[in-house]
Amino acid sequence: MNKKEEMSFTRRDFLKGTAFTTLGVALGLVPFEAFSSQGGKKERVILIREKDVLNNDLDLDKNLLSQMLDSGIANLAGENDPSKVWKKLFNPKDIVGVKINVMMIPTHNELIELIVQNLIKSGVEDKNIYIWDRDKVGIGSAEMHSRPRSFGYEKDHLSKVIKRCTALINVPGMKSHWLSGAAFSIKNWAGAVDNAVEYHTEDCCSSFGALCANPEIKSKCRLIILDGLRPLFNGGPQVDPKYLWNYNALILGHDHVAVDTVALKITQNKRDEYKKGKWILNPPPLHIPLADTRYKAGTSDLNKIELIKLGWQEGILL
Amino acid sequence: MGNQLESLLPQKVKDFEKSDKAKSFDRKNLYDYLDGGAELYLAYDFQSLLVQDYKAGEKSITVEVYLMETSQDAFGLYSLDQEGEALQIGDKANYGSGLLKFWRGKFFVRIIDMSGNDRSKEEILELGKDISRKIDVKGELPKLLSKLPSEGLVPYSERFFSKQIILNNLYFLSTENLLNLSENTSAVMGDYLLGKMNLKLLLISYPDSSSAKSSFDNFCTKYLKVSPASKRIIQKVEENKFVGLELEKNYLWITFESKDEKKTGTFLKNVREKLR
Repeated sequence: MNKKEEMSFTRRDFLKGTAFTTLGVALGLVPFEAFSSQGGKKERVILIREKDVLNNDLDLDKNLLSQMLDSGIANLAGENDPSKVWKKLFNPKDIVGVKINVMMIPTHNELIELIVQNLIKSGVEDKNIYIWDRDKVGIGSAEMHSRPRSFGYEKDHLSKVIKRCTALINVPGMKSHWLSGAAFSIKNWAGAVDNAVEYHTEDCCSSFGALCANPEIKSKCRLIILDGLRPLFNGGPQVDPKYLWNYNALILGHDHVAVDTVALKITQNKRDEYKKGKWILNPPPLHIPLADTRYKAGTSDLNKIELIKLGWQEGILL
Repeated sequence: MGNQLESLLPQKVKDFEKSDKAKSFDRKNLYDYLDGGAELYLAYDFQSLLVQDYKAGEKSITVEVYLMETSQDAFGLYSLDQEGEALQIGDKANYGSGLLKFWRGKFFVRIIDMSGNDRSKEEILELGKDISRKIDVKGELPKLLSKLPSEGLVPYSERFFSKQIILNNLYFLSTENLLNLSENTSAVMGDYLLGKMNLKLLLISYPDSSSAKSSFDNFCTKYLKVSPASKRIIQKVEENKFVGLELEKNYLWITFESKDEKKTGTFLKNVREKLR
């Protein structure tokens, strides 16, 4: 992608397929055959769903969610025993920051609890687990929901939690977003800086990728667990419930851009299903392909993603 | 300001009672409540917001009362998504899946049950009527809205705005502000069904004819890649569709998604006649 294309991009460029081809594929404008495990090295993404994890009354079955998380993380690493994977990813000396989302489509509390439990089981000390969004921080299981502390920010705008931690887990919600098109794992880091408003720009928020490419974040983030239990497929972040659906999924990966590309394809397919025809996300979430091409933060090419689909297949949309 | 908004809210509606203290937000801290959603409201000249939760046992409802600078701003916000059951609450209202939205005077109100079902519909509507009754000044629709041709206009599809970021949310055109949209412009967009053909109309009013002309030229050269040789241009674009645009005085209007060149021309002409 050349500089001109990045700076000025029109609907016509998009439809012609002359720019952001990977985004065109994710939005269904460019044909895509199927995810494949064939070919060279691919970035693995796990999509796991359970029909009964969330019912129509929004009661969440925590045991099922726990099984989903176990299976998801085991398959992500290609292991049988999920506890071994947690131990490989995090060691007892780690200080782990769990970056959740509290805005509008918040990370489910039960998921936060399971992540904290798994960290403790893997040997991380309770006092070394920081659960936070924006500048509301909880230390350990006792404070994971109340998050009463405030740590402030460094001069470079990053949360002091990030500087203090040796490892990070990104646990975003899954929603469309009126200004950036979509808000998945890349955008979740906007809640880890004190200048987020500077990223919410008229050009479809093109620079969000700079956040997950930040060396402090990129080097420390060891796991992404996207909460896709009840995503939003239109509007956002403010919720209109008619655009929420029980997708009952977790999406796990190590690559922000790959995880978001999969989440985007699901969201776009849900929109098309709802309108019974093409209903392209407006504006197009340019920050996802740009996180790849401009910020080198991961891959937005579906052909380079190994998607493993587990559990409930009905309505999977992929 | 908080007191003015609080006075609109009853203590109780049926079994639902106020829970917790209401939260107030202004232009400086709206981001704390809405994250990037704040930009949407600021683009419509948002002034203040009051958020109040109501509870009845395990059920809860959240009321958001937005005070905007003008009633046109309040209507503009309301107009963005009018899908749902149309109701006689405020100046215009719609309800669907646990969310009531209405516009009344300078106020835009959302009352929501996040469960997404209709279990509290009765109470939500009652609360909406109560709040609406306390807003005694009726809103004024943007004048530009009356310039939309009525024939073929899809009901509840008309939207009002000023800024580029709203346009890109409704219909992404470009990362650049090709049409020079700003707080000094007014724009309406409507969906049309002409026979079996869909079409979108974007009508913009500029402060003067020279601003309209420079935006027309800019759109021709940068979007359509054609010379702005006349005041009306119809250009075939991708997917075998036609973009049509026309200029007159301080007005510029553009059609998208048309699949018929002749119908596009006729429609452009109809808009011009409506503007006179």
